Amino acid sequence: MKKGQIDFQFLIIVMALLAFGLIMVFSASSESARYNFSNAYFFIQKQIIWAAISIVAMVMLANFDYHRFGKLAFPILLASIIMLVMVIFIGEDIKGGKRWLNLGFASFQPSEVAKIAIIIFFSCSLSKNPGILNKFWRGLVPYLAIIGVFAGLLMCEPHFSGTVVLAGIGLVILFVAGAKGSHLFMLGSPAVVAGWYLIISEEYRWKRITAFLDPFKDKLGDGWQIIQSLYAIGSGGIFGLGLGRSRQKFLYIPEPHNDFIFSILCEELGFIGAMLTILLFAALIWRGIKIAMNAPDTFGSLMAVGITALIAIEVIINIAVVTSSMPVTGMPLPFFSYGGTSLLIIMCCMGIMLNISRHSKS
Amino acid sequence: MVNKKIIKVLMFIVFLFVLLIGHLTYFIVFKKDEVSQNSHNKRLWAYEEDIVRGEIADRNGIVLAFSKEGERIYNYNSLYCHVIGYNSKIYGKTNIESKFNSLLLGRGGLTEVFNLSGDGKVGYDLTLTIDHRLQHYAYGRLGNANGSIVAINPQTGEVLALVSKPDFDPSNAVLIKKWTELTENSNSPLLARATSGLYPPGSTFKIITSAAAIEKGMDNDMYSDTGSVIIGNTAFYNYGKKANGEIDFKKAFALSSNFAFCSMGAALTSPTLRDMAQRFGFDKTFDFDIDFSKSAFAAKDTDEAGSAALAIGQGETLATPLQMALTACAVANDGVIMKPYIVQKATNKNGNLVYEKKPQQLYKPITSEVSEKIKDLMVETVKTGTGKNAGIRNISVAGKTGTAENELLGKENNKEHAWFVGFAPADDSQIVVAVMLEYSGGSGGELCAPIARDIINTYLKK
Repeated sequence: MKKGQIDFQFLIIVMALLAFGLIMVFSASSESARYNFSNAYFFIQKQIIWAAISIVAMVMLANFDYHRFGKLAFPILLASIIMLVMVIFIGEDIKGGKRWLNLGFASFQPSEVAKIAIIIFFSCSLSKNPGILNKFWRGLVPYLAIIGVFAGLLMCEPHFSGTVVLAGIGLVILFVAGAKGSHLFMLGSPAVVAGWYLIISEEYRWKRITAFLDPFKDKLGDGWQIIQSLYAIGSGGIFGLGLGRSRQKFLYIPEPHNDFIFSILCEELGFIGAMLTILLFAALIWRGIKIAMNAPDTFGSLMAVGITALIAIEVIINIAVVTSSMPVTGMPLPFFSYGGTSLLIIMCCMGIMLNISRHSKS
Repeated sequence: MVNKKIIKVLMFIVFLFVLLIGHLTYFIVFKKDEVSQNSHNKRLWAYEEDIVRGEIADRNGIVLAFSKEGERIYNYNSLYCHVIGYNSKIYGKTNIESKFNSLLLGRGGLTEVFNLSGDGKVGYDLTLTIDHRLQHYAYGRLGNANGSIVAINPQTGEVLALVSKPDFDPSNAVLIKKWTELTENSNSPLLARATSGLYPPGSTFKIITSAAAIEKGMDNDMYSDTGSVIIGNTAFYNYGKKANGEIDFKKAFALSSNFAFCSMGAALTSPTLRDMAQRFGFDKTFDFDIDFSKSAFAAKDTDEAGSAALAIGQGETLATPLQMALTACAVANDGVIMKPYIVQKATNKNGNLVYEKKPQQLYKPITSEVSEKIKDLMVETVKTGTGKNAGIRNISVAGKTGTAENELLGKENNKEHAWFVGFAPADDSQIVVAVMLEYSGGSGGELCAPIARDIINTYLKK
């Protein structure tokens, strides 16, 4: 197939987010790095190296015809299941969840790979079998079963937020590929019940719900993180304290450059900075949806929707948590939260998006 | 088909984004201030770490509290625990350390928390109205008794001494070691008796009853005091059931005749008494330099017997020693209560004034004519009545004693609160003193009046 132009607007937004994210990682992590490693640049140095690797990966994937994922779809799915099984046995236990596989030079979360695997496999398989989702038992149910298997494995770690994202993108792809709303709703209800059961069955998850409803009730315990986050956002006000002037990062929360980095951003850059960030993500999602709609075939279309949904869900959940719009759950903010492998995977996704944009109809 | 569904997905995402933006906007517009000024917001502490907290000195420049290498040092240990308070990362801040935190950290006000401009790394120094010499003397004079002493300059409202016992060492190291003991001690050492202790005022309330009686023209009445009187179905007795015989209004006050004041109270009725008490500051609050409790007059109107009890400071009425001192201030200062204050000024390290309190009227419960009449009653009390022990040669002292029944009444271990409020010199009052000893078991005249005398003496002979 003849290669066209990549979507430059999409690329510019991605690079803006990446640069902005790096600045915020540096600003948020410097104090923690100074304190823990006597080197303010400890985290940012690592993150910059990963950003460089990620850009290379993105460029490579932007030039890698996405149709060739068709053949890789099933092997990737299988590999990701194997990794999810492995992590249950030999995963690194960090803060109550065995979520990380150690490769020696780096650790990564198999759940991140699982999300990509689901996107590629569902898109490939559904595009090859148009109309299959009209059938309930032989169409929809097998796909839901795959989601179920992944969800089950993820809950063994356990990794509740990862499960929610994975199920979310799976359902979005199924919906776009033609699954009937009524079917999804019918099957979604028991999933919600199961989710609710998982919440009340784990004391820490239930406490997060109660802490969300009244964070100030247990200031020093379960409400701690979210209250610190609200203090930060409140302190930032409209215009913020200025870049690098957050107080939050002075060890009020253990890892300011991770899941709660958006609160640092709010404190330093204020409401204006927060809105700008949200709008930047909105622009990325808008371009992502455009790419999906202009994709030459269903495969590309579904993959683009899946990746866009992945970013959207993660952004929405992360910002919702940080602004206390929903209970706390560990969710990184794409491009912003510290973490090399997760950045690499996001940038790989962006590479795939760029490649799909090259094949655009218009 | 596919594209239509993609649009639906987009719509849903947009919907969620709008919700998020809405919530964030709502938070910034309506909740921001409430949340970020929460006292648990550690930002205030982080700020503090960069700054040498200001010193606190008495009115003559004697340093009472200062900071060195991040530690707050109180030069006189427990002497100022209920005035300056404590400043602990773990237990928070109280009293002056809390209310004047911004100035002590070198900032104008809370709104400037994050504008790190100004005088840099040094906080502002506070000068109190407290006279350390008097405070120290009052502290020693109170001894080991539970109670409080309040001394105020009635002409300005400057608080000269403010002692509450029991007390505690407010330094951080001691707090950490003894916190559980402090909070669980049945003696409640953390309770500042002078400002937050609520007690039945007993006969000191007769100052207020007298004000109401004078306004009603009852100050020419005569009483045949038999030592007890039955009002409604309740019997009221004089202290020690003493019969005072034929007495006028002045004698009734000086001898603290319950016979006379219960009769007066029944005639005045509770709404009139409440009105007068509120004019003196009961049921009201104002901004003061440290936290204090609102004194409360009985909330419900009551019958004759109830009014009789209220007139002698019993019943449902509760007052802080601060409130009773302010009550005396009105009499000492031509009917005007000046707003009490403890911090007179704040200066930066260059000596420039950054905060100053000017004397200011708080309430004017009575006219100067009425206040003169009550002053006469109070002078008589010290000259010939229950307050004789407060008398000082060559100085005209005015006062009122009180011996207040409390919840222990009728029990085996019954012990009354002893009160004295007074001022001197009567014709140009420099100092108002309220002395209160809780559960002392003695009368205000024998226990508190001598303490008040010594405090007045110490202050006036400086």
